[in-house]
Amino acid sequence: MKQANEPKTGKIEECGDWLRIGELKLKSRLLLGTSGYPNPQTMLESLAASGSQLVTVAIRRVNLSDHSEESFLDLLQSLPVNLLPNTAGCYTAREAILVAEMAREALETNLIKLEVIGDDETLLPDVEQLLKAASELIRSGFTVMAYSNDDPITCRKLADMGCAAVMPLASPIGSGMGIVNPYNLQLIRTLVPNIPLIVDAGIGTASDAAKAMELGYDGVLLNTAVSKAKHPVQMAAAMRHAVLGGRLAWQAGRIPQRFYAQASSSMEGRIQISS
Amino acid sequence: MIQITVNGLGEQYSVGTSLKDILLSREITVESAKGIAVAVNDRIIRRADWNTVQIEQGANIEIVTARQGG
Repeated sequence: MKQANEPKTGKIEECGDWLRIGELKLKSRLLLGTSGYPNPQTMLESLAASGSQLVTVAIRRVNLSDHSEESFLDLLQSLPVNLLPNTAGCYTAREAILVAEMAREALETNLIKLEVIGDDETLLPDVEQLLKAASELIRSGFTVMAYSNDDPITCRKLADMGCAAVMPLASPIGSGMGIVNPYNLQLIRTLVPNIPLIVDAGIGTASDAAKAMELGYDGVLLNTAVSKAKHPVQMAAAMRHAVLGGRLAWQAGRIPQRFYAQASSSMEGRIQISS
Repeated sequence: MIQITVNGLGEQYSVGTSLKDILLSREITVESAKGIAVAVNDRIIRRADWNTVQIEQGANIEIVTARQGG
């Protein structure tokens, strides 16, 4: 008879470890963006290498003189992935709500990655507008995944109002600085124990993604770290393994940290040399 | 004639032009509009209503789709 606490093998399929967001049930805990790749083929190969099942897109004006953008959507919709439209570039709740409604109409999904930005320099969220937009979108039936500052109180408010996922940043969008405030991320995990938490933005390399998962986060959302890597497809694979490794480590339970060494080999039976 | 804005560009149309007519002039029909959404004066217009919405002087029309994003 199998023991209830049998060790995980590392194979996603065997873990039965799903990420649930709204009605979605995802095997992969890596969410990947579609922006900034050297070419469409590299984007497609990176998406495949990442194993991501939820990929972000922006909502932008149709280029009325060039219909090639339609092929971008066709490309994505031919893949076994779900689309997560974002409200990138919105500075007010009003803008973000309209973009979300347009995304729902265009892509026939209630999912929305809610971004309401405070300024161009930092691209940090405007908390007041973010909370307002989240509240109204939830009331309108959206499955809101809210991109947030790494502020525990804001994240708790977003969770309490009914966001399907709360997504604090590791560091500013596109900065690649990794997790600058692990203490806050840990505190957010403590304050928001039951809603999916996803680290979104600022991831620079695979160890950042693993660290986020080791803090107990449910997933990682990233774009630039892959699309602008020297070898995007390889970095996408690295992120896939990092997220899985971090998740397994979190579940396995790390040893306590200590200031002084503790020998792993027993001193019992050690030889003595003659003086 | 009426002066309107379509995706940020000023254009002129005849009085009484419908949203459907404007979209059709851009080769966008209800049938071909998969992945597209339209708003007029900051209000979303569902595909089912494209035929019936009349465009008035000064209207601001936004036609969007999914693009690369993070």
